[in-house]
Amino acid sequence: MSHGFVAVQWNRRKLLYDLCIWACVALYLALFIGASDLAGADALSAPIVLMRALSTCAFLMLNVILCIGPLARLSPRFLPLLYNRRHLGVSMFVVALLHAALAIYWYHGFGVINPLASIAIVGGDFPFQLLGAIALAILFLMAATSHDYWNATLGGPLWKAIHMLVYPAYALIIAHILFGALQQNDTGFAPWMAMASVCVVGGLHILAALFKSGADFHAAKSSAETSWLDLCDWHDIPINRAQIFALRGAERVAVFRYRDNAGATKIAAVSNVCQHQNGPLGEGRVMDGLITCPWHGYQYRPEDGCSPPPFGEKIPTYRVKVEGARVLLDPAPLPAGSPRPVVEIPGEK
Amino acid sequence: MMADKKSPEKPDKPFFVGYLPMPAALARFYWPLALLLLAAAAAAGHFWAMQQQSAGEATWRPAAPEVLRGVLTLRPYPALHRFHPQNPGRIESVLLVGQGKHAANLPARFDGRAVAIRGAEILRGNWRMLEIPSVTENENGHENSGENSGTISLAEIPDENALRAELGFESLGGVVFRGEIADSKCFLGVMKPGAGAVHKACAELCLLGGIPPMLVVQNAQREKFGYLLLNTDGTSAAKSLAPLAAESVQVRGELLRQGDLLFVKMNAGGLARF
Ligand code: HEM
Repeated sequence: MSHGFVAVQWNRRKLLYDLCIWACVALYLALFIGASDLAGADALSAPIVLMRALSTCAFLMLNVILCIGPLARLSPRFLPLLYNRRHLGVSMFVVALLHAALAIYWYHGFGVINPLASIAIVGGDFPFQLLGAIALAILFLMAATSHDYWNATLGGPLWKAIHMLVYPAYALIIAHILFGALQQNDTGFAPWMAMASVCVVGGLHILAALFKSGADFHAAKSSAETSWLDLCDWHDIPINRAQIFALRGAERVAVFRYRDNAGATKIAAVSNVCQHQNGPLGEGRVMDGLITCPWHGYQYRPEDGCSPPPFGEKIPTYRVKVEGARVLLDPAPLPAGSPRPVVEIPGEK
Repeated sequence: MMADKKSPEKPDKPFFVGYLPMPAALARFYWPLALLLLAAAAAAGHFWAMQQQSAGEATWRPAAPEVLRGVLTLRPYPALHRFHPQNPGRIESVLLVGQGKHAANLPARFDGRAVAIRGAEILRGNWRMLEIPSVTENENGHENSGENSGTISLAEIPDENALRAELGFESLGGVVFRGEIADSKCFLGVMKPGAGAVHKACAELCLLGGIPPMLVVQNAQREKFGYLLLNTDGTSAAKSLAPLAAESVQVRGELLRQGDLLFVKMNAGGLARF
């Protein structure tokens, strides 16, 4: 959970994940090149075949990356794909960079204009390569700031904003493919893949938005007399897990019922947003008495919203009380890392 | 103590934490998924590659340079003319271009002379082009076979005068053609594919570098014909046509022949896109 200057904190999961990424990339490229006509009189130029193999590979990787988010929201089974998604992102950038470098070398090199300047100067009314270049610049920014060090240095919101640029980059790449191929007389196959991609990626995002926000976030009802909100029956919160409640505005609160290390059952409410990458804490678990984020395993103490030493992450906490079987919440968040009494449910061991 | 059916003690679904061992139920899901992804990557690579269209028959042989002998003309585009090796009654005109996206740069004193030129052949249909490196001459200005032979040198060729007599421009009348403006070097075989909008930036750079512009016209049988384009004053139209590279245009002008090269003299400013 620390974010010092260690390049990658390797573990078996990350190794297997990366091995799988690069095995897929190698297989894809090998079969693409193998199936292309490279010998004989009607062979295609080798650099063009390689450029196409790399570009389509990067594009497919980008599609997988964009589908992981909604898939993980639709089923927690896909959360392990999210755990190391940044490695997939950086790998995709490397493959896209090779594609771009080859295109610049082959199509823009050897001429009377500097190859890099040439991307902006030549190419006519629809300079589709310029769109690719802007997308590549965004992917570079994301790859360069992907490390947790930058997450901590830039702060969560700015980091998140930079990484949401993946959507404009995706739009630019779709335009790069469409404007490139659609100008061609025989348009070929790429535009169809681009359309299919928009349908799949867009469709999954819509599905996740429809099914997830409706099913998992409960609107908190305010009781007329007091400012305390009546949330739910504590029996409805599974043990060592949470229910997520949407307060007014965009704020979300995760209310956990958990067994502490002494065996007592308690209720605690914290912000639903993990400080690391805004992961949904309420979809996580309490493990060894600590709230554990489902995305990257960052942990917080239910008592005060602080990560256990030596880590320094803190999240806002909320006050709760239990009346009968009902859980009530004071909707005013306490500053990140504030201790407040957590409620013990008497007789529940 | 209350009986609580809704909140079982054991977690209902396996919970994954990256730095802890993978729960067995998830591992059972991920091993087949990894294999499936590998198979999908292989299938997708093969499938996508098969969607590529042929760029036609054409070759470029940079690794096996040839020496060709004939009479050199430098205007409007550098070309070497010779009696066709297989059909000596016909003249074959070989266009000359430089390396990369540059025109051939040959000393003016070779213009109209019989020379031997060494370069990489570019072949498409009846077209033959020679890509020549920047010029190096032998000390005595003569061809010198063997390792040290230069790019160009004066040469003795049989029927030199008969050949030279055939190299005047002949007008074949007015024409209207529709086709794509290609850079002849890429189109004839250096890039495959070397035409079409995806190739526009490259074609534009080639024309800016002085590579002869060619109007590629396709007939109903999808056979392709190439006409070199000239400005109305008979000079190279490479630079004036650069902005129209890879565009489909209608060209109206005068058809000319020199050797077996066909040219259309046209006004680049008056071309209509279609
Ligand atoms: C400086 C940046 C870039 C340049 C100069 C560039 C250039 C090109 C060129 C010249 C082509 C046409 C290739 C051909 O069919 O002959 C192409 C196609 C393509 N590019 Fe890029 N590109 C760039 C960035 C990107 C990026 C970041 C991606 C992201 C994945 C990408 C994905 C693609 C795809 C999917 C195709 C279609 C391939 C096909 O038609 O089979 N490009 N690009």
